[in-house]
Amino acid sequence: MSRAARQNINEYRSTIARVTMLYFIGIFLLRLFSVALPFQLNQPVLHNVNFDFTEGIFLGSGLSGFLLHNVIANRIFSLSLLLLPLLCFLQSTRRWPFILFSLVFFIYTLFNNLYVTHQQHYLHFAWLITIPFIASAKGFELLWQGARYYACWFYTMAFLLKVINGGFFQEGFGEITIKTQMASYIFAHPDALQTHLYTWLLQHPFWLNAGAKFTFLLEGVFMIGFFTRKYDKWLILAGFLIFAFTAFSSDVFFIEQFGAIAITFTSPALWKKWGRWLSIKPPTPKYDP
Amino acid sequence: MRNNYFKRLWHYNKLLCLVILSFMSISTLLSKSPYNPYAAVTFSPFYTWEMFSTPYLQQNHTIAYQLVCDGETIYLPAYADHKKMFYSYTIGKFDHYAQHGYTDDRYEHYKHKLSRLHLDTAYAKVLSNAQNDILKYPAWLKSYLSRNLGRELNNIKVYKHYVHYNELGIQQVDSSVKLLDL
Repeated sequence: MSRAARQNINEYRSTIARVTMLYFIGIFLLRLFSVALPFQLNQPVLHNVNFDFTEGIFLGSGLSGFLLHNVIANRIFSLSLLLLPLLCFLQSTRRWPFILFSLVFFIYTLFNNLYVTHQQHYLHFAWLITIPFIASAKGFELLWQGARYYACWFYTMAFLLKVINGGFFQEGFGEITIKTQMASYIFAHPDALQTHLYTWLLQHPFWLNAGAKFTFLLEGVFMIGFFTRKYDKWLILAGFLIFAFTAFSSDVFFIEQFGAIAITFTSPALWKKWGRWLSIKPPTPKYDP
Repeated sequence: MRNNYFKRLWHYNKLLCLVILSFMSISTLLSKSPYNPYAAVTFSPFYTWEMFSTPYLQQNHTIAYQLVCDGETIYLPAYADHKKMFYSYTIGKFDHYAQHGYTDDRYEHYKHKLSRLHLDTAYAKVLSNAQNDILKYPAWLKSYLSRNLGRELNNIKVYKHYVHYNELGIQQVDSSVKLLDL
């Protein structure tokens, strides 16, 4: 990134902070309307540490149980998930609301993964993009750039692991994915248009298997991001296609992951436009030391 | 990396640079792979996206769960995953525990791991699910689904179907098991 571009990123810090907080407000509103916030869970009885050391500490310390069973703590925890991003949005030039939100959101990722009984790793990347906002001006630019590199790294690793572990080379991978991951959907909706599409694709498995390889390669193209920012908008498109193909074939909806990718790969020029739309005039006010 | 990202980071803050390098190194070391001897535990927020990286094992059938609420089969499409995640994932877990006599089979694994880490093995009880809690799951599922669907439910059933696909790609049920009826 050139010196001018680096300066731009700092100029638009407030815009980036506000857009990122709108993204988090969206995440929690989606979870609120999906009856998935801590206060809406009716105190789940099962948990799954899943050999995660941090989850083990979270559970063993009693913090998870306190946030689940103590009614007041549970309500405050849930409410803070909705209100802290709003506070950060309104106080986008200060660092302390972001420190608070980052801490609460990290606890939320542990809480959610523990009681949903599944590791939703994409929440960790969403948490990671809260870190740059707690840094000083110089640190912000470096950490924001670091978050983008981290995204390039984990997609590259996802691709490499498929090669190393052999999934990439299984010929019928796409076909088996549909058969196993979509089995419950197909059973419940035998006459749906989507099921008819799956049936047609199972009769023509080439498209499924080629589609799986194409999705793996889309993860691999993030390697380009280590060397240039020129193709960042195409990497956002690659991120969207990975999200869409995974939703179609594996019955998951990683919208949080795609949103975080779109934000971290957005160019300074686009932040300038969004800054105008959000009526934030550069240069941004001075940040807390 | 271009423009010596880590060099600039090192000059700005050596500790931060080391933290970031450690973050990426630890995530790499914890990657799940048959070739990685360190992939015994994960350590949030360190993670790598290793799902769907290993080849599927060839099986004669696959499993479809059917959730029936007051006579109506409920299964939401992928775009509503957030609405269904707290029951779709836990039903699979409950089924797993049911197959082990309504006990958490990971208790012994946790005990083993704790002893390897020289930690008190009594924590294995905390980390795994108690049988009493596992047996409370059907009642929790019913109450959560009532809240999730916005109506009081009188009866819920969960079936596990063993299915395969014929040469036309049509799903066929081989056998079914009732997991719960409340």
